[in-house]
Amino acid sequence: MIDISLIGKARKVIPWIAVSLVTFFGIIAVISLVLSSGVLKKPMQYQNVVPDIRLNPGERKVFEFESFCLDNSKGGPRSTDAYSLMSTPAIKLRPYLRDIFDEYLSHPSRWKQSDVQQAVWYTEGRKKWTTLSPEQRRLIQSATGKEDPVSGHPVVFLSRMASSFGVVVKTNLILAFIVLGLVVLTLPLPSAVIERGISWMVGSRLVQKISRGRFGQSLNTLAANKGLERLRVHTDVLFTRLVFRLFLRRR
Amino acid sequence: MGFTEMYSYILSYFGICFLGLGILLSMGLIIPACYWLFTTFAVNEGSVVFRRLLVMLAVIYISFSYLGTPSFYEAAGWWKTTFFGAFILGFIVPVLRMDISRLDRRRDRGLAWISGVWWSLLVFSEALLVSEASHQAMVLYLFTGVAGILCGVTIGTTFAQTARRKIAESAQATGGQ
Repeated sequence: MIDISLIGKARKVIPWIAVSLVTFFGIIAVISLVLSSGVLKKPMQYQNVVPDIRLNPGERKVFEFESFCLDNSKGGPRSTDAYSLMSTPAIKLRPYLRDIFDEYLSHPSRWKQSDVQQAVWYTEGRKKWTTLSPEQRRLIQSATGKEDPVSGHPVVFLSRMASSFGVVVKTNLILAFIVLGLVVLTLPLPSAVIERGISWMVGSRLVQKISRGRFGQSLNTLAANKGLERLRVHTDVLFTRLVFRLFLRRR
Repeated sequence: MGFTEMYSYILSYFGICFLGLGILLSMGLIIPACYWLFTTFAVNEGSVVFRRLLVMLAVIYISFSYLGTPSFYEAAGWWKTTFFGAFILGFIVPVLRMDISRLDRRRDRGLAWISGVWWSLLVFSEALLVSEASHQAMVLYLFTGVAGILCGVTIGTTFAQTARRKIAESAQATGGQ
């Protein structure tokens, strides 16, 4: 059974959360606007170089492109993989990437494709400045006007951390929440199992408060729900019938 | 810096804090998750079929969502074949050895052990991923195989126990007559 007072509480909390989020992002936007005012955005060079591709139905055109890999950690494409040409948010989101492409497109004969590729991977935060060749460093310096610009940059640090830890955090949290849900849905007294699971990480008082308090009680009530019990029994009965049929036919 | 760069620059500091909290939370929750997983697999009371079917679906979902990570793209290709091969193997063994399955057992330790191996391989593979180890195809295929065996054994054991119960009931009914 759902406690009706919870719906009333949720109605009060949700607008407050929405207002807080809007205020938070709004304040950051204002700060960014103030700090970035007076900085003119350089027009991007690649828009002058890449042709505007328009195809009529059934029409076929051949274009030759120079392409770059944006993510060093991903595997190389297979011959059977389908390609699609589309814009990427990396140009806007990854610091210095745009500057490197602009520098290359401004002076295409000056820089080698392989050096540009290394510079692109450098903006990802996976290549160290010291491992780059002098020519690659010169390219980055010409493009960004700085020596080792990526070092200590929070955006690069975050994206690098997110690419390695993001999967782990996502998998672990999904595993924990799904298994917690299964404990509640499938075991007769879930609060006791939850209590034993978390007893090693929090104090005994808090464990008791969680498992024997309102939270634990509501989980036990949910587990004892008649509809849920009926579903469990029906699943068991259906499976048993299926096994019996298969088994009896064999015998 | 332009507006977008500045905006993402400031937000990234908050992002780092949130990611840090997420890492701590996931590290803290993975141990109780392991205990809850063992318990849901091992408990042999109540509505066993319902529980095991759901846990099996959860294991399949988590395994394939982890294997679908772009970092493992090069190693992919035989995930499904490995999984189904291991699943069939895991299903057949308990069904063929139905004669040794005991109905009075309150806990199924075999399933708990296999789920422990699955969990350990997952954590080991995550550690390799974080340490940016370039080649972990062997670990991933082992993980896929163990996931397949775990799911197969789960269904196979449940099938064997149900069939065994039927045999016992039939024997009792025949004896009663």
